[in-house]
Amino acid sequence: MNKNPIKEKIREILDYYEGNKNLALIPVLNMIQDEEGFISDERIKEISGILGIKKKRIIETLTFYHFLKRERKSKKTLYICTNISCLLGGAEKIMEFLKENKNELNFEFKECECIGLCDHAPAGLIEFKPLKNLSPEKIKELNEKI
Amino acid sequence: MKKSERLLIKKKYSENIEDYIKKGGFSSLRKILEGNITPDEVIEEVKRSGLRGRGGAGFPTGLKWSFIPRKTSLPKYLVCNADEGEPGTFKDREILLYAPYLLIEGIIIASYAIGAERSFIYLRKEYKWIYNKILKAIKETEERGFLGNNILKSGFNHRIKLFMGAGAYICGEETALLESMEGKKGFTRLKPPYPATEGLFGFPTVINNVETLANVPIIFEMGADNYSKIGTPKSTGTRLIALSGIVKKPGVYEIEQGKITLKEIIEDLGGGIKEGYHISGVMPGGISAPPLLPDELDVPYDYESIDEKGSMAGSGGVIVFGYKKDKRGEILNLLKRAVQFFKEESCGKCTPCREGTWTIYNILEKISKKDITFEKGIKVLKNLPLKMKGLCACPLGESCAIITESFLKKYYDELE
Repeated sequence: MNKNPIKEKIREILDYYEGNKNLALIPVLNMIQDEEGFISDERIKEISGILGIKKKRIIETLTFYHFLKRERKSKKTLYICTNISCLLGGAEKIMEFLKENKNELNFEFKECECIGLCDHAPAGLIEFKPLKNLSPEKIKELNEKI
Repeated sequence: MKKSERLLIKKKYSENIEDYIKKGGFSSLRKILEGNITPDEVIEEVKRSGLRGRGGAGFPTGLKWSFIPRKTSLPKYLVCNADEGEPGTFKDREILLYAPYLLIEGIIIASYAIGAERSFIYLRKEYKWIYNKILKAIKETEERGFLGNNILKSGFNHRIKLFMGAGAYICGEETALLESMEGKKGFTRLKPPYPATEGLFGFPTVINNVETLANVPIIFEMGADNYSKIGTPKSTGTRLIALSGIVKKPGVYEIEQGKITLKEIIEDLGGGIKEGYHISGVMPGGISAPPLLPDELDVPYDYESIDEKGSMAGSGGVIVFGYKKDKRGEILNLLKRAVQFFKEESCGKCTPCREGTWTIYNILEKISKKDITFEKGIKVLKNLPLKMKGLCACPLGESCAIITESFLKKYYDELE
């Protein structure tokens, strides 16, 4: 039997939310985004089939949120907070360093809004794990590990 | 009571559920359910405690609960707002990490008070790394019999479900949060109807902030009368302050409301300003709170005192800002970055906010690139806020207008 693990997971999420299909939509989108790095048209069709929500409504929802994407990303994304506290902590320098070394990076990077790590500025998220007190050295280390 | 340190919430920080129970955890829930205290009595007690919402608006919590219709067979919901997105705010993160059981106990008590069999924790995606910890805490609480059917043989059934957002500041606004939970984009709703009558999926719903709910078990442990003696008559209890920016020791500090000034928060708790920096001002409640100048910091930290200074205690995020060497351009850069945030996070529903935040940003950008003269830019900026205030479904655009006005007034010379 050729099982589709994503479909299984969608059903698990639906179970967790006691069959409430609208409530399950964003958790389902999050799951697919995290598993596959983007949400393909094919997946939108599958979600629509299981949750009974129109495709265009799913697209309307997913294009609203920062962390849901319709385009395929081949690399992991590093989010760098550049909001006030991180800016005061030197986030601009981190962004400059990333831009200068763009070609050698094994991940993509993107500026983002406050991630609630202001006491460890400048901070970022890689795969939604916190990166604290960032420096060019830490970026280099991350690049080797990833 | 001392001015700061482990006062109420921090005393309940627990590594695991055993540790929490040892510290008196779940005794408030026991007191209520085993002592046959009615939901109405719970609401009265919370009203008497003077507890106010810690998310930003400071609305009286007991009063909010009392708006839920009592005589209805409709399902009711409680939603814990863990979508802490106000820049400079990370105090709910501490509770989620270090006091999840206290939060869960608060959620169960609040749900009992309003008659909700289901509650949700709406966690921001930026805190995905805390998701499993909360899930585990909920499961452990279930295993101990404090969640599930017929809790402590009281006949009260309750379950908590964890829900994660997908990245949108606006979903911290309660009606946008509900839209998001319903699988939609985070557009704010026009009020009325208020969530208390038409909330999640149209059913009566209470939305409370993490820190607000974490205070609830403490109120029942010490009694509302004792609780209300802490802080000031109008701002009771303690607050978790998230201190960041150019201070030596940024972090989360618990303070008694009204008993410590902003200056003391920076000097005594934050260890003062970092070496080599000059302070320009403080945003006392996240970036939506207008800045206070260095000579305005001798103000006690509570809702009223900071309101009187023309700002707000808001989310409890205290950002100390300033510059290292060259003052020129620094403040303009900061204001521009703050406005960029509102521009990015405007949900786009109301025109004054969507267009207004973009326009302010574009003018600041043009001023900083010297594409237009400072005088010309300021002329446009001075008239804009009038067209943004009081015209939208939520305060996002208005906040952007207010802080722009405030920066122009207080830092005119430095912006030029």
